[in-house]
Amino acid sequence: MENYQLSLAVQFIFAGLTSGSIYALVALGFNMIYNVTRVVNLAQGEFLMLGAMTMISLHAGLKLPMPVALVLSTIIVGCIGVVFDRFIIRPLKKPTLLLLILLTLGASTFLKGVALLIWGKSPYSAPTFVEMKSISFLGASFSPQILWVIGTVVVTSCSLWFFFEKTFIGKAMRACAENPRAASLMGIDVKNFVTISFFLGGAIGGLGGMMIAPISFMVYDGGTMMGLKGFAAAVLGGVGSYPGAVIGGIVLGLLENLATGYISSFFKDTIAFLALLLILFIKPSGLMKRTED
Amino acid sequence: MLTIENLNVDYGGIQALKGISLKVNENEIVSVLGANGAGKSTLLMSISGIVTASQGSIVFDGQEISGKSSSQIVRIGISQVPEGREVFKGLSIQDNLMMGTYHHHSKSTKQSIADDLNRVFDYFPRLKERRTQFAGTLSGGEQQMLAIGRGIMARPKLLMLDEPSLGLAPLIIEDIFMILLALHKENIPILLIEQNAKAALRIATRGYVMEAGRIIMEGKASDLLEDKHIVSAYLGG
Repeated sequence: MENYQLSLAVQFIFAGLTSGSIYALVALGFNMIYNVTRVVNLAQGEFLMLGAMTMISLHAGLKLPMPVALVLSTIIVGCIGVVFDRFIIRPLKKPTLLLLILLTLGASTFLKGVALLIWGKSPYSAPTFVEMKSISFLGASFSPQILWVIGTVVVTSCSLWFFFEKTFIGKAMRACAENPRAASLMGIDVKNFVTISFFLGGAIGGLGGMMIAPISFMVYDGGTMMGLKGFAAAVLGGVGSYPGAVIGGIVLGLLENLATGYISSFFKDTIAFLALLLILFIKPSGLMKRTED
Repeated sequence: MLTIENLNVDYGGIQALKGISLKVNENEIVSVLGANGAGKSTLLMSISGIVTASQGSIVFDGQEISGKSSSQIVRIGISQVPEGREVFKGLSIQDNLMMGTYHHHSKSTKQSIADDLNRVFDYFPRLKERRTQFAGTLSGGEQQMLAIGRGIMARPKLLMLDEPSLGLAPLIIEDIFMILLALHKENIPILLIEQNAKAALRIATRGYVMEAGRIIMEGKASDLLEDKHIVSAYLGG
């Protein structure tokens, strides 16, 4: 009986880590765009959906090998991010916060509409990246895809950390984010960096979708809830903070799965927004917000 | 070196600059004086390419630069230390200085950049002590020093400063103006915008006085310092 309790707990924790990693990827992409442009991109979840759908189409439809499909879809969703910036954000003469939020919300609906036209209403799934038996650990068993999901978060967040803290270009990008005008006075082409941030924001979001495609089904509107939870994760960790995005995502994923497992599945979607409200009441700057900003 | 002729700038329906003509020669410190809202900052922002002029020409080193982007203008050799310092508070002091090298970073050797850095640290030893700290932790005076240091790192052929004395204690203002003189001795011409007319004219070769978007007076700094109108309007006497 005790063993059963233990393996149940392990099962919940791994499920939590998995969905938490996905929220973390959405939050990382969200912060990426927010940090450079101050745009609160509510279409981040749609990037995730597009990543999954594109990858499945390339792999199952066009029969491309999985690694090729992964790389290509990452680039494609990144480019969708760039188009998003060029045609929706940049034409604005006076971008106010409210206008930007409404526009990204509109864009999210538009992307869902396009996805509905391309893929219809049926759910799609992808095979696991590497064929392996499910892994057993302390009596719990889970899909090996979990390792890919967690690995992606670790690699993505470490690369982002390295890029922004250690490279000259990364620091220039932070300078753009903090003070675009002063950055232009240094000769930094701010618009190029905005384009790069939308590319990376799209690519990271898309990557999240590809990672879960083998575990859960994806439908044309499947990104929305993920996007909202990723947004909650970003706020939980502190908007703009990359370590915060990872911690916020993991905490949210764990809370959600533990609450579902031990209390009631009723809490699955409620807990994210409960956590969002709580953090806004108690520490609105988030768990990891850097104080020097 | 820098010749501005009949420069007009419209700012949301308001004409901020009305036919400005101004010159900075090699080895000069030129001060532009005037009250708040006279258009001094707009002048610098249009030279830097942040604000576009509706009419007129800006020629630098024989090259027309009005209409060029701000990053092109920095590359041509005009560096601005903006009003209110505008340092990157979330970056370390050393990284702030390195941002000044952005436009020549890929072309310059590591050694030459390290030499520049040491030169800035010679001018401002306080920055060297605190090089790894966030710029946001610096006092106003130190942030101004950092902003000037960042400007030097860009290896400018012309350095423009917008109100470097703003909000600083008299002793620190004196320090900063001494450093401007030292830079001038290194053959960097300076275009200095100031409300602190006395201090600005004391180090300047020539001066201009702006009012409501126009230049209403120009002359040698020593003459302006003795001009009755200037004395009563800007020097508090």
